Amino acid sequence: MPYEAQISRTQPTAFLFLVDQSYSMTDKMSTGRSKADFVADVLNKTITELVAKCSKSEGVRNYFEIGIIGYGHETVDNALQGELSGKVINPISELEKHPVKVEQRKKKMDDGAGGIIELDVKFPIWYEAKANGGTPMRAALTMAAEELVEWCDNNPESYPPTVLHITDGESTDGNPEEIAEKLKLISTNDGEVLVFNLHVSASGDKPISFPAGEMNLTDDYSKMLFRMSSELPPALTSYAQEKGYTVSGESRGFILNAEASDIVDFFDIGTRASQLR
Amino acid sequence: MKKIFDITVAKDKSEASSNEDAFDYDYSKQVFALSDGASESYDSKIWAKILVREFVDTPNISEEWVLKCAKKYLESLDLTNLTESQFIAFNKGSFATLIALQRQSNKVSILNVGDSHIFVFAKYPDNDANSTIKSKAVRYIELFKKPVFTKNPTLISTKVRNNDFIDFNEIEKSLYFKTLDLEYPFSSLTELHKKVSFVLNNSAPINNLRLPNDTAIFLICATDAVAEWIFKYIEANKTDKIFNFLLSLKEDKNKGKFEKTVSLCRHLKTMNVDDSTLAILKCEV
Repeated sequence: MPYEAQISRTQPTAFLFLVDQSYSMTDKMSTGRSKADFVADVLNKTITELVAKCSKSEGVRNYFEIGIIGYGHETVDNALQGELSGKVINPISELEKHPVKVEQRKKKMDDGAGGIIELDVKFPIWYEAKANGGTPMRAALTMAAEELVEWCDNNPESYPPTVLHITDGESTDGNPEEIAEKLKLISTNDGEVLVFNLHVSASGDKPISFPAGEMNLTDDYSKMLFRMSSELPPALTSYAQEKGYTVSGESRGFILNAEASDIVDFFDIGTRASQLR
Repeated sequence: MKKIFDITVAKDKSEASSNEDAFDYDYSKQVFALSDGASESYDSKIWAKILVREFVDTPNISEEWVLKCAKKYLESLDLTNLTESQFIAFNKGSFATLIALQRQSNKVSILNVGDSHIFVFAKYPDNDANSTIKSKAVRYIELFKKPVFTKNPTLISTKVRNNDFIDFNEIEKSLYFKTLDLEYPFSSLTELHKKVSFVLNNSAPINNLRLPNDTAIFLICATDAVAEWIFKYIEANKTDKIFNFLLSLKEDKNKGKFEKTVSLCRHLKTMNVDDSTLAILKCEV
């Protein structure tokens, strides 16, 4: 059965974020924030959750490898900077060590044993909002495919990589569907690459997560991105149900204007207590 | 109650120190505890160690006892300069299973939270002729139901708010607690198992069924990967085979056999890759 490989330090899986950095991302969403700001928040929050999942008191375990490809201004490039700019896909412990910047904040929390403690907490930022030029989506998907072919060759027994593509859908270098189909055919021995699309729209439509069809999508870009998204494998469907989503066997990895960090819990790295649902 | 054999094999054999299973004994108190720290936890290795150590030191579980464990856990951590991700992980808590048992006279009280499992086996004397009970040389007595290994287990947490599934001040009344009467062990069987095992071939009231003299009771405690693997044999009607294999591990000539078996089974995908712990105890009646 596909999508059953155990995710471990010797057999990690990969997350590749594809981020639209085109000028249209300056548009304001119904919340008043720009699409680009929303994308930066989603990305930093999702990476933070991924790092949290791997965080132990002694450090971060490399259950995941992470990459960010940004596209806009007629270019497609590694969006990770500094120490991480040399490679597109990096072990998660390297991301934890090398954020672009870190903000220091105080946080109060219960200590678990009846008391309250105040802690100094560092907020790392890996990606800052950017919006400029065109939307070379086909070129970005092609670069993702090249990276993932190599990654799958090097990790043939691993749980297949997951692509989280965050965009407003307005490609300027042609129809991206054909490339997305090819991207979904890249595989490890445990299954094909999973493609999730998060559509950031200024339409004001109600947020939607993991729909089973196009019928409730009003926007043509949403419909296209829905078609480009992978069907959720059975294991992911049950995790999505545990997180409270209404999903069926035909649900796809498509999200409209909603948080994406919940998808982090779709991937098991070992025993998780039922209380963490 | 005495130890026959115990062993633990880390999930990642090249990094034995990352093993999050823990166990401890005190024979003078006739107590044993086993805990499996959940992978998705901030520091379940420490948490599992604290639970077993505290039980062996003070085998009287109560809310206060759990709180004391949680405080020790907190004291063991350095919480200065946490990153946001570490903060999230710490705030979720650490989680672990717990099998905690204590023998008092001919009764063994057992708390079993999570997906580790305690197998009770009755090994009849080789020359016994009591055919009503002794249809086989070894019988598995199902004290606790088989865990659903594919589901996320409910575990003991460092966060008190996550422990409301059990009243630690009245654990004797909970689903997670059983008393094994070593003289009348079948009185502890689950109702379903009573029916399946005995209805067809035994008209005597099971609760009053005594074991033949010199029968030994073995308590085999295992964390989830090993427990799931043992169940495969029991369910395939190979109880004798797995029991004899497990017991043979204590012999000097079989040193290293468990580790090799775990490696092979992981390779063949008949055992999950996980920290794997086995402890065998023997109770003379």
